[in-house]
Amino acid sequence: MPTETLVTMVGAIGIVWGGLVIVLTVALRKERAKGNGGDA
Amino acid sequence: MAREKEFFTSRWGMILAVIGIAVGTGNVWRFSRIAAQNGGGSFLIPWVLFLFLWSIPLIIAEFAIGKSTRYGTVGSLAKIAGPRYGWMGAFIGFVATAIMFYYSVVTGWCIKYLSTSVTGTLISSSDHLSLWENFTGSYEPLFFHFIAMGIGAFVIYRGVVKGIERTNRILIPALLVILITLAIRAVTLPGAWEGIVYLFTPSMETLLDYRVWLSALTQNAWDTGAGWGLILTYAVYARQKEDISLNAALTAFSNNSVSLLAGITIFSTVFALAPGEGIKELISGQGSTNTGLAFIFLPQLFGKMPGGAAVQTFFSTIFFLGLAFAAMTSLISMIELAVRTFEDMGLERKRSLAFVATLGFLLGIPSALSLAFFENQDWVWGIALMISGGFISFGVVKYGADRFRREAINSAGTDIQIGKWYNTIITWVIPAQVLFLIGWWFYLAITSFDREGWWNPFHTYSVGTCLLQWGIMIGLFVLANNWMVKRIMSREVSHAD
Repeated sequence: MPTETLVTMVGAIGIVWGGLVIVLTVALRKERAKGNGGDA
Repeated sequence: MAREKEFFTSRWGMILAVIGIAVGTGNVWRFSRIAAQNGGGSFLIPWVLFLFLWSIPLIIAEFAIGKSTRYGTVGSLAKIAGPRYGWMGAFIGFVATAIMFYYSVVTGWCIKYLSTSVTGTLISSSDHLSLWENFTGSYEPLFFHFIAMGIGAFVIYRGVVKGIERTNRILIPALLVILITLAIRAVTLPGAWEGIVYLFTPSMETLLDYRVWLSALTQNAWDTGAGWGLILTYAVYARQKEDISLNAALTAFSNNSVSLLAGITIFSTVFALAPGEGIKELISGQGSTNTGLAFIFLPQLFGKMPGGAAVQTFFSTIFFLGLAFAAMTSLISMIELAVRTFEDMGLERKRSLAFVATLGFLLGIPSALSLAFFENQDWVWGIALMISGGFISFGVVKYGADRFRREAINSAGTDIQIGKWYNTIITWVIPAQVLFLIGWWFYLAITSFDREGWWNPFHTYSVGTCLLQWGIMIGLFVLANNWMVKRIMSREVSHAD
């Protein structure tokens, strides 16, 4: 596989799916810290 | 200011509902085709960049406007930009509603193909082009449009929690399971790797082509739901302590993750089952550009899948099930936007829903019966979404970008503080992108789509048809501005009393 293909693949997947994993992890931690009670 | 009785019960309930807005049919059929047309890997680079320059900033703005004003598009624009600008909110709301008219037809197509898949008719067919043309040339789409609008209206009738939240809690995880199942099957087909390599291989020549960049920006503008007013509407039902910036990032990353997964699936399938000719078909296609991929080309490929008729039927069924889920969750949000707007103006929710559902069905009929009309509406209101994004940006700038950032975004409950970089993006970068995009699409209409009749308002893909239809609606909303805003604001006074 050409290097530029590998770099684009790792970059795109890394940013999009990696980004999702990171924000999901942060959200889970924040939610756990806040507790699950609603305020409505 | 919290006037609403119903709120999403949890962060995850709201996030799944908002992902339901963002993830639609465009993630599946449009992303793959546009990526193929624009050089695969070369397209992905600007596509990822514009996630940060268009989608996330506008999603943040929508979340913050809806949550802080607790109004639909008209009331919220009047609140943040001033009472003179309620018409901008009405235009934003109308654009999404005009899309709802024909998107219900699209949802109906997905339901029809799901039923055709389940019965095995789709796989046993030898001529998918004729199957599609016979279907769209008949009155059948009208029936499926009715079914789609009926299901969507029923979900809204059930309410925010029991309807919108519960439906998305089921459909979005189910859609994800379906997409992952399809992706696993696709990437394990012999020859699939070629497709994946094509999707991720960039070339310097196409990367430097401005058209690839504008295509990537357009894709972000159309498939994330940013700037449509839909996320703003759902944010009206966000709990007071709900975060904005992290939820916006979650929505945008989830949406683009689904696009990437769908892209990997489709490129793998095309290269494995139609080596050589497949990519040409993916780029040019039969039938109406994007719909041709889903309703003509992919059914042909399902019929070539190894494992026999039962396996082929299974995979075509779950594909159209996923597509129907993706379409339905987006359609629901469009109905809710219109219902919310009339509710803000004093119409009781159930009456508002009956009015919107009836109007949605009636005004969707021309698109159900005529593909030319459908394509015209998709052209006119698809580009109008850029104006909607511009109006949201205008509202924030009128309120004061820095004040908006401090008061509405970085409010109580937020998990991530947004820095001053946001002021620059919402004030300058978003409007610049709006101007470039509208200018580019008009340039394409004048130089390529309709060189002779680009000015003619009665041509499908003309500049004239956009200006006429936008002009009529903007004129009407400007004239009705004071009446609309007074109705909404007078309700606020009576609530406060």
